[in-house]
Amino acid sequence: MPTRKAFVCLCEDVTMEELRNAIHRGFPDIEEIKRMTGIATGPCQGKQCLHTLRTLLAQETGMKLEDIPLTTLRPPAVPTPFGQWAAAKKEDVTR
Amino acid sequence: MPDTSEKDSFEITFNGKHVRAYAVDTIAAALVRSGVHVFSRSMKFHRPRGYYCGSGRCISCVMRVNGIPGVRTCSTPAAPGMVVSTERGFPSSSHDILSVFDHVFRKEFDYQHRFIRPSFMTPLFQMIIRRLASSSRLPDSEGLDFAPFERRSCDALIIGRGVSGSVAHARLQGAGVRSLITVDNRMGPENNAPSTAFGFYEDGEVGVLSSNRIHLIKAMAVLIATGRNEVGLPLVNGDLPGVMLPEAVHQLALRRIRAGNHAVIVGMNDLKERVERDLRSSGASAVASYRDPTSVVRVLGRRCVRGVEARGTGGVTNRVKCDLVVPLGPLVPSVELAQQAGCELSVINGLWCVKSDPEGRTSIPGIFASGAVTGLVRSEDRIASGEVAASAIVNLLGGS
Amino acid sequence: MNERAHIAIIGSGITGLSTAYSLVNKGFNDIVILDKGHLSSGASTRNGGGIRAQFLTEENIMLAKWSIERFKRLGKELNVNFWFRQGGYLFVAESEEEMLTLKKAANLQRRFNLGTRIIDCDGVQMIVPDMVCRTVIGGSYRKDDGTLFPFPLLFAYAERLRAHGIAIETHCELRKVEMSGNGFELSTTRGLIRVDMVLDAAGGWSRDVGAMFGAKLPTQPVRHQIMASEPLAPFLDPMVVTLKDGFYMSQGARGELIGGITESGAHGSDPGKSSTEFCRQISTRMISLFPRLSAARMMRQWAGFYDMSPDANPILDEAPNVDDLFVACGFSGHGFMISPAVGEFMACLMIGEKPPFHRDPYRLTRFDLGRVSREALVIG
Repeated sequence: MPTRKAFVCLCEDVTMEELRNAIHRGFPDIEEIKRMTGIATGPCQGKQCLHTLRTLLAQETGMKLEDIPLTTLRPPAVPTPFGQWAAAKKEDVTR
Repeated sequence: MPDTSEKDSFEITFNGKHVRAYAVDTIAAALVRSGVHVFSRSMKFHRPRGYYCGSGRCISCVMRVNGIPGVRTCSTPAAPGMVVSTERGFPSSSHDILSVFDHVFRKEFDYQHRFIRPSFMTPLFQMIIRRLASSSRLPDSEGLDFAPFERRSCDALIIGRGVSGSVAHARLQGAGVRSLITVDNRMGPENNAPSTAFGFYEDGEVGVLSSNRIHLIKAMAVLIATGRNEVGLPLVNGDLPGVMLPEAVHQLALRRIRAGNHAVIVGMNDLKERVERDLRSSGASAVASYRDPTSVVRVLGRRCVRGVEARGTGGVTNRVKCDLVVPLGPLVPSVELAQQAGCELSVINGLWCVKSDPEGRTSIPGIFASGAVTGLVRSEDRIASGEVAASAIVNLLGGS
Repeated sequence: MNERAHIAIIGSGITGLSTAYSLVNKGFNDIVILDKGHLSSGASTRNGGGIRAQFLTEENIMLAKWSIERFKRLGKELNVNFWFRQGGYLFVAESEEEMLTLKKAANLQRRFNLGTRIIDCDGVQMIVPDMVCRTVIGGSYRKDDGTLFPFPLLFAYAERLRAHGIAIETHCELRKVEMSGNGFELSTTRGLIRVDMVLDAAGGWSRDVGAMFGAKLPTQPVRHQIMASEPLAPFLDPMVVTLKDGFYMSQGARGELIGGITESGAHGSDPGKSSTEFCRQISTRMISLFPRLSAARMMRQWAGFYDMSPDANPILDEAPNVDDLFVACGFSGHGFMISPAVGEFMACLMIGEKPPFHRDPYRLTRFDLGRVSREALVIG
């Protein structure tokens, strides 16, 4: 039987427990939580976890949900192969 | 969806065993049909993970395909002779002795506060953790057949062809906009070459990824119609194979594959009706439905879902047998691209959405937004917003 | 927020935190740390975690060597694991000129007993079996250089400092400075605070902060981009650096490749934005060296500032024309790796103790006096 864990971040295996601990260590800022636990830094880049994280932060800190921002979302929104960037030649096509 | 008749079938190998697949299948669909539950093992605890989101937005279904690691099997069409294998787990993903970590670290694994002492063991700890953290071996071959990336310009670029995006597409085509590119990342019968917009860059280019190519597109007008993303619920053991988001259930149902025999639905959102339809059409039954997720104490099962333990009225917990759990979590606007572009966002009902004016203009000139990504919920509103944004784009382009 | 403190440190990055930690260890804890963003929101949480002593100037070698020894003990002291892995740094030369630079650097480093080895092409191939060395002439390798994970160290510093009663005020931007008695009155977005002494450790914003005090700093923030790949099974032990284009790449504990390159051509200045040229340049280089990475994927790109000084050596000094203003800036892309030494140095300066290194090479006035030696080994 797997042990009882509730996951917020599937990519980095971050549990509710770990997030609560991090918040209560004195780092209630969403960008600090991200750097402390690794949540939202895995291959899905926060698609599955950010809303749950915001909701948890609101619950644990008493802040209003609308006052909790998203983390900075960066390209690429989906992983892109290096080979596709390393163009042999660039074509400029204007239509 | 075309019939899955024998003449359309072929074989792929999965962990050395032959699996039947059909022309309409994604790799994941073929594997689910053949009874595969465990698709991967998780990073820290080596917990079993299965086909979960169905839309390429998680990594639970990721496998090594034809020598390439990290392939999202839910978004990759199956092809004859494909060699597919699971990446993590010893000796295999389905029976992994390293799942002992799940029991050693019972609540969490905080990598910042472990293995600090004794310090002379540090290099050994590091070596072990490094070896365990990722099993995605380097791709087998080099110089794969990637076409060079392409720079293009166009008048209008529509990102997303859902409810509002398809309306805008039709309107712009009808208005005679000559160079129009519409990006659609959904796999489906009408779209056998999905492409995904992945980035707004500082030179004004939008990066789009299609199977063989990166396109960098500069458009005079961009419409962000990226819709919403369904997310799960943080149920205890809600990461077990057999927990599937509505889109995953839907993708299976389209291919006449049963996601499970007996389903429990947890939570409530706009997709519930479609989930119930998909279950019915694939011959599954919904055995229970818990509108309030907190009444589900935990999901039961070892390597896949066997049931749920739930709190009924009066606070009494009971166990319900099932092999499928469908969490209905919030539908979260997909604002990644808008945020990258610098568009202002605002919160509507607790969710960050792209801020747009009544004409669909965002805070960045030349960038428009429509549909669910702006916080609209009702389909009639989303359709109308697609129309309105398209009209504004036509005006911007100087009419036709 | 308190209205009064003895010392204000502007910037909660590694420099500010390290200095505060040294001050606390010397018995001073009437300190407030101000940051306009979240904790360590500048370069400290955006870098690739590289830790090396292979530099071309004595100034940097001394600071780095001292710091690496300190890093080895810091984890136990702060009760944190920041995954400091001494997997080595491999500098690669693809021309005779680059080879000469590496030999010159290695000779200098040998005077400090760093154990840097000059190796030939075969030697490089042995250290990085998966790399294509067609264009490689040779390299320099020091096995005690390595990489760490910046975040745990930053949070551990912050927790320890808070435990000593030091306030770290985040989302608190300095707006105006007025001289007040023997000290300063700082106007921030979260209120006023009067302090006797200030340390400008504001990284890419040091110059702007210094200007608020009337200090003219010759530094320039330059944006550098960086990217991470999806996790891969470990295949790369050292940090690999090519001199030709400042390309660097290492593999983190989770298996992700982290790397950057000195962009050719015009490039932007906003760390919040990303460019396609960076993606193209770094991917091209990565694949020419590691062709099998063609199908590996870029997961995320971001950026931060290198606070560049004219000679790429740090400025660690009391501002010559502003009493009680201390500056620690100009780290030119290697601030994190020398932070333990810098923290100790600045703490000593601020309390009037003898610092562990001579002051002259780090003085602000060296530029006017023409007493500079250029650090050439700036990468990324």
